Amino acid sequence: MNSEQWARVTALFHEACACPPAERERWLANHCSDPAIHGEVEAMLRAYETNPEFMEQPVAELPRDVESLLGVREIAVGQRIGAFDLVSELGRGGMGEVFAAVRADGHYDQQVALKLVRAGYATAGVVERFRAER
Amino acid sequence: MSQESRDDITRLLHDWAGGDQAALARLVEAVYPELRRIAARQFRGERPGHTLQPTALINEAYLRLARQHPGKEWQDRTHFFAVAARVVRAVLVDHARARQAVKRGSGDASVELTLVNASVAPTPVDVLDLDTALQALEAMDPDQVRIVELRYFAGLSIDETAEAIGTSPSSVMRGWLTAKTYIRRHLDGDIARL
Repeated sequence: MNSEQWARVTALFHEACACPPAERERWLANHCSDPAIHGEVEAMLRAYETNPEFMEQPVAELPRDVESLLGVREIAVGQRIGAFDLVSELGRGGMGEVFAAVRADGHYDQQVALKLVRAGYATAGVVERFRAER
Repeated sequence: MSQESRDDITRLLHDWAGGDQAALARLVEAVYPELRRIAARQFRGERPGHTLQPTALINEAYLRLARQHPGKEWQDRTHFFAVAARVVRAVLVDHARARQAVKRGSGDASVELTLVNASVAPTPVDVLDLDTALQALEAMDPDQVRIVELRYFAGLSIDETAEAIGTSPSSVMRGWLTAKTYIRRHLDGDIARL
């Protein structure tokens, strides 16, 4: 089937789907005179009706926060994370960044190195290594 | 990554941004060996049985590419999802092939990408058959293949898919229903006869 024929099948199939199931066949007979296209759309309707939910559950989900992933919205010095103000950047890698930070909630003075994991990297293994490093 | 493949990728990225849809396939092909190297490196340091999230792998690969080939093309959602969805498809196909080879006893189990983790659902569809169906659909309607990749391999909604490929939600809906029904027929052995 070539692209033009497929475009025709796509349009007819979609419009036929919008009809109540009992009327689909008659609608199609009235709107398509090419027997080859007609047969193709009929086969499409039969396949669709067996399971309209087919493939509706995606096999993988990707993170939506693309901007932070790509570093468009970087975490930067001066920003506050929890109780800490970021003072300077100590390092960065594929998984995230490390900042020197100071406690900013006024409870007590504390200097820390704050290691931040990028969205999508907080796997069980990474979290485990994080705890072990602490 | 060699200088040669680096230049290739820059050129492909440019072609793709200029509207050459076929450049996407070549782009992912060029990127994929690097992706496998990243996966192998990450596996080497891990305990046996440790699994890698494909999402993390894709993020890592994508970030590297974006840094090696700076340019605003990488910095938008449209390009991220188009490349990433295609990479997920390639990773899953690769994984299914490796598993098949291991079962037949001819494969090298160490190159298998392990994908067992919460963010990848067990697929009710055979990935290799699905890939064959998508290749057949590609010849008739490449846009419908993009829609399937974004919906099924990246988990985008109808509206998000429309935004990612720059069309209307109703047009995505039409393409999605048609494409998934075509795939269904392909899997059932009821393939287009024309």
